[in-house]
Amino acid sequence: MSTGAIAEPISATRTRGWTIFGWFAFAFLIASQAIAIAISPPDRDMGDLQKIMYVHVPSAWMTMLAPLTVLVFSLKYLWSRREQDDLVAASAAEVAATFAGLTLALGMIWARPTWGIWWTWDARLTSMLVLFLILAGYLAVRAVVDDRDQRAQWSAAVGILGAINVPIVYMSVRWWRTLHQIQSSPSTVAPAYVIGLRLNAFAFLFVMIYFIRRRYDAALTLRAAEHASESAALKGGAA
Amino acid sequence: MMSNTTFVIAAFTVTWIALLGYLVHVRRVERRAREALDHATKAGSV
Repeated sequence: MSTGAIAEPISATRTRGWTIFGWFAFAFLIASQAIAIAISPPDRDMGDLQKIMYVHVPSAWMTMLAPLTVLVFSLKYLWSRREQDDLVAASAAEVAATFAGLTLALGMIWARPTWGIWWTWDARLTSMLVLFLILAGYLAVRAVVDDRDQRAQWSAAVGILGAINVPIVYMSVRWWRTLHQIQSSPSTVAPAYVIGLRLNAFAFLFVMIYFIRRRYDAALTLRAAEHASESAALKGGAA
Repeated sequence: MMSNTTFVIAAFTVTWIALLGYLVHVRRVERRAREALDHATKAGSV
């Protein structure tokens, strides 16, 4: 039995606002990719392969940022037992799993021509795979546990575990000898690539925020439907 | 032997498939949720 307030589906006006934000996010992503590809010269060692950085690195950052959203809202849920916090955490976890899968796939596509292999059990790759599996575990917990409170508590525990793994993923390239290069950031890449990287990082951030919000709205509507269905059943039972 | 351009095109294609694929998934979840809400509301008002 949930102790949190019943979530109401979001109003049409607010949905329209987020739809406009979504269009903006995707338009910004298209523009960012076009600008980055147009202005960045081929890398001395990698040539045009460097351009994969504009999708791989922002995707990796979102894979680390979204689990931190899961952490914050999981802790908030465990503290307040407010159902909406659990739904935000679950929405962020699904988006995080999507970005984690994308990051791994893009890493493999980049690794093949640069390292000569699709995959190696390097600390960065392995820790990212572990994060992906934890996020998949989070979604599995939500799929198999029926009791609402138990589902929220167990998934919050898995979400916190996933977030603990984030600093390990981030620092893995410094803590262990890895084939993967050190973290890419505007301070570690050549100046010619900084603008492209920054633009695409913001574009991915906007897309991630939009995804979490849309998924949260859907979860609210689903929850309202469950509540209406339970009320109808109670009414039917009392009649 | 695949050229570097092939890998770059593959990376951007995979990115868009993943992002648009997830968007389609969310829209499906939304539609199902709205249908469930309509159904439950109608059942409650009968």
